[in-house]
Amino acid sequence: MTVSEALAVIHAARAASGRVARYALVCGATPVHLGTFVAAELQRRLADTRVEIVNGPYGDVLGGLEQAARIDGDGAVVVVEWSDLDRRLGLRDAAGWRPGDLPDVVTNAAWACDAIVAGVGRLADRMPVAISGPTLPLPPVAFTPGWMASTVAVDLRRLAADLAARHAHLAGVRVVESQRLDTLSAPGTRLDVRSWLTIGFPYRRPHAAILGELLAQLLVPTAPKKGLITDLDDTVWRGVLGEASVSWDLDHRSHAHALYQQLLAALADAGVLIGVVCKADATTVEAGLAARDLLLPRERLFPVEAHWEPKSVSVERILRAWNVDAASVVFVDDSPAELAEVQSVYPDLTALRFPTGDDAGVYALLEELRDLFGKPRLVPEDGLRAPTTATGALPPVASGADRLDAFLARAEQELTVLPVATPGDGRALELVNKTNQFNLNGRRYTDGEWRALVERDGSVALVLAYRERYGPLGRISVLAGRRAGAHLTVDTWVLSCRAFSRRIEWATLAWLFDRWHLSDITFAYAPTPKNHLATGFLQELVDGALPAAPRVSAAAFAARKPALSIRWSAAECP
Amino acid sequence: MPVIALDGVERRLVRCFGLVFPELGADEIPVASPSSVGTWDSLASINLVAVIEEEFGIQVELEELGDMMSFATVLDLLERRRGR
Repeated sequence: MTVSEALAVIHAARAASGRVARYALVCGATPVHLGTFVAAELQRRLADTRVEIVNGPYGDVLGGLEQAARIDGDGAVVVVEWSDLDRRLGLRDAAGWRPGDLPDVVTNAAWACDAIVAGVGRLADRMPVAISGPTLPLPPVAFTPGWMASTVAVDLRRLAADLAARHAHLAGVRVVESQRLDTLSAPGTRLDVRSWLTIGFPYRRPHAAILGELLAQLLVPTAPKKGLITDLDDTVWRGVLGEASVSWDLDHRSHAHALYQQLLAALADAGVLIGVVCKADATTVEAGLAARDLLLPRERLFPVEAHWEPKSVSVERILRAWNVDAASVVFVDDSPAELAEVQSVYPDLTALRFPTGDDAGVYALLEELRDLFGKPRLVPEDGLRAPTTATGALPPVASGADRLDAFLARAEQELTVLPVATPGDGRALELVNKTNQFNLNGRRYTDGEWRALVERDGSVALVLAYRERYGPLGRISVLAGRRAGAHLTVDTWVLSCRAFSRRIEWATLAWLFDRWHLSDITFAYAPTPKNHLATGFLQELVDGALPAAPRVSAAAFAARKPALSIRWSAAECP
Repeated sequence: MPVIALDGVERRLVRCFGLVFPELGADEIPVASPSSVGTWDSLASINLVAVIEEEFGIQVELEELGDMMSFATVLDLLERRRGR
């Protein structure tokens, strides 16, 4: 992004009628273009919101951290450079590079690191923080030649690494990955001496643009994909089942396939759904997947579509089994023709070619998959997702109320109501911002907006955890609203697609009516291109076309409520 | 209102000023200067230099910064650069 492009993004958003999202920018240097790039990158990610940047005091990172913690912000960007650890490591001061000064530089930097970690920790209690450690080269302070590591340089880099580690372990703090920054912005091209000395801004503009992009991505991350559908032949392994032996090892020069298997297994453990499509007969495929040295456990694969129909047909079945839309799924195949066939039916699906025989290409694919499925943290529900679907205990989707009744009667359903905790519990907000099909209005929230919603007067904010005899599904629903006497207005309500067809939505309302003796509930409903399940449920509730703010009375709800066999875990009810 | 004839450089410079001072109308830009534009502060000057450098593929030298105190002087600077 250039400054011109960034300014154009910012100015275009001035007309936005939505709320103002306020972000603090804390850095020791004059922020100028960095502030412009951070604002533009945040703005690009927050449609219908006007981003406002609040700058801290010049040359005072610690003061900036304190000031930022006092504002009512949606997040904070913190940029630490060597000169923030000790002024002698910058170019705007000439306070001494004599050999006798160097031990004091390191001591001072260690103290500054401690103070910064404490300040960032206090700030993270108030809002999410994105932070980068020193990105500029160390100036020639040491007495060694430039090609020789000096003790002062090594000690300072150890402090910087320790600073990043301490920040990465703080709740609510996300740290820029220096390896990615190095790839996108070569270390030797970052420093702008003239700009630093003239206006106090130390970065070349391309470096500031990339740094701003990565920091914004940390604060407003792209939603991770949910499922991966993979081919088998010349993808999971080298070779074609039934035609020749298949392999994934160094001896057969097919080790890249082992790396792919390894990544798929890791993704599955992190909650990614892994499905298989393969044009072969099912017996052959099952024999291949039963190989003892396969790095991808067979039980992690669900469903496995093995037949000779077009792969788009297989993908359709898998999407239906997962209850996930195509935009949340990646399809990997070695055949450009198969990729094109599937993509022609599902243009929103991400189709990636597995470059068989090109080890470097496979490695690049692994990196791309990590980016597509990466998430800032794992929650217990991530580990539950794959085995739950792999049990095959999916409820009937459209096979009639009788079959559903029979399924649920055996399911031993149990719901637990938990209060929404802010900060520290990212699962509730993650559910609200990721769920599409059963989403009352599609409204997405920043951390700051969510905190304001949950903490306002009269707030009702609940997370529902669910389990049944086939296993736990974890926290699968979030509902937030306002209660005034016997009336409840629901502002946000989502139910994970993993928990559909279990009448949890009916049970939730039944619990609310009963718990607070409500006379009626009003829903802040809005149609979206994807929330047809929420729409259908509300239409059932009001028995017809939906008004602007659908409302259901206790009597009307009782009259329409189907048979429920869900047990509530009362001990944890708020 | 008189129509101002703009050649290529002027038109591109107007676009640069429009990015940095979006509140200015088309007729205000050719007479823009720090005294006539309330938002023309040091940050705006830095942004203006960056936008002009990007638009025209040039690097503004330190001694040239003093020539960038109005639309007219910036245009004159660019014309001199073009004549080199």
